Amino acid sequence: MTESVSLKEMPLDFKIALLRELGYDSDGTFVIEKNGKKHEDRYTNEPIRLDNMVILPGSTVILDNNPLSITSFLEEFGDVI
Amino acid sequence: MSFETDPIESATTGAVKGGLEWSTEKLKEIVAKFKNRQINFIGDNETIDIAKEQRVTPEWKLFSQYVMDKKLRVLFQMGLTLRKMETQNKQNALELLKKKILNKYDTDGLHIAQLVQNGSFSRYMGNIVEKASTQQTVTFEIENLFAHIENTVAFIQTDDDPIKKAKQIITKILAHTPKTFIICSSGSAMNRCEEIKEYVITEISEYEVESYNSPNKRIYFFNRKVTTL
Repeated sequence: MTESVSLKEMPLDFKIALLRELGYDSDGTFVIEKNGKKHEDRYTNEPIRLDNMVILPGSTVILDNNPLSITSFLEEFGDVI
Repeated sequence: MSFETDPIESATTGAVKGGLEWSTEKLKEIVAKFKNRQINFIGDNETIDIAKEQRVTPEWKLFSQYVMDKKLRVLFQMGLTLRKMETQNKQNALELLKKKILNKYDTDGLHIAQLVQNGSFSRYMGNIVEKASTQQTVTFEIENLFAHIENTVAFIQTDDDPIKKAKQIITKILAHTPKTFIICSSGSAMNRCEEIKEYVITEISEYEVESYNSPNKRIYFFNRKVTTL
């Protein structure tokens, strides 16, 4: 069974280090891609804030934590979370 | 290397989950677990829970048998989520979600979600499931309703001019002759909705009205009469 770790309780510098390990970065507020652009939620096309992100399995999917994005993810990948 | 939060302090305050401490070693460990799909990183449980709850409701189970279109499936679940937020009186979250649906799927997408939210769609679906002879017919009717939602559904607002709104509805019915036209309202718009229905029905003889009333909703289904030779 997949374990869930709460990002709400993770220190900011640990979150940024985690993103770097996964091939992303942060300016302290938003998730940043390698090319320097703000990473956008694949379903809402909105930039993702560090304080409201989720990181889900499936080629490292970083999403904004809102019902539209989570539901869209579940539709695309199935009930994997 | 370690990170700014003292692991010992975090453990005593309950900030560490599953024995995690914020160190480089742990970082590498959880990254490895993530890549093996053994772990995911979530914000709050509430958002995921509300999304998952909608996927086990009887309404979803019924709908998902008939409709495979991903956009419509997401919008249906958004309607259920809006309803849940409305029931829980989470007005800010509801408005924020409506804005996201609007940005992603435009007005017709939001109207599809609202049709599900206010319960009209489930009554419509129950009706067509009862009458249809095949599963394909149900799928067709649902997709057809959603594809033409701007011409088949009217959402009545408190400040609508009843005559003007009724004329708009009559024009749409006469132009498109849908099998069903739905007029729906809630709260303070319910009386206005009834007024509009009365006006429309006097002008449209080829349709019969089926009504649904609850303490806070008023919905009218204008069903085209079946003609016999």
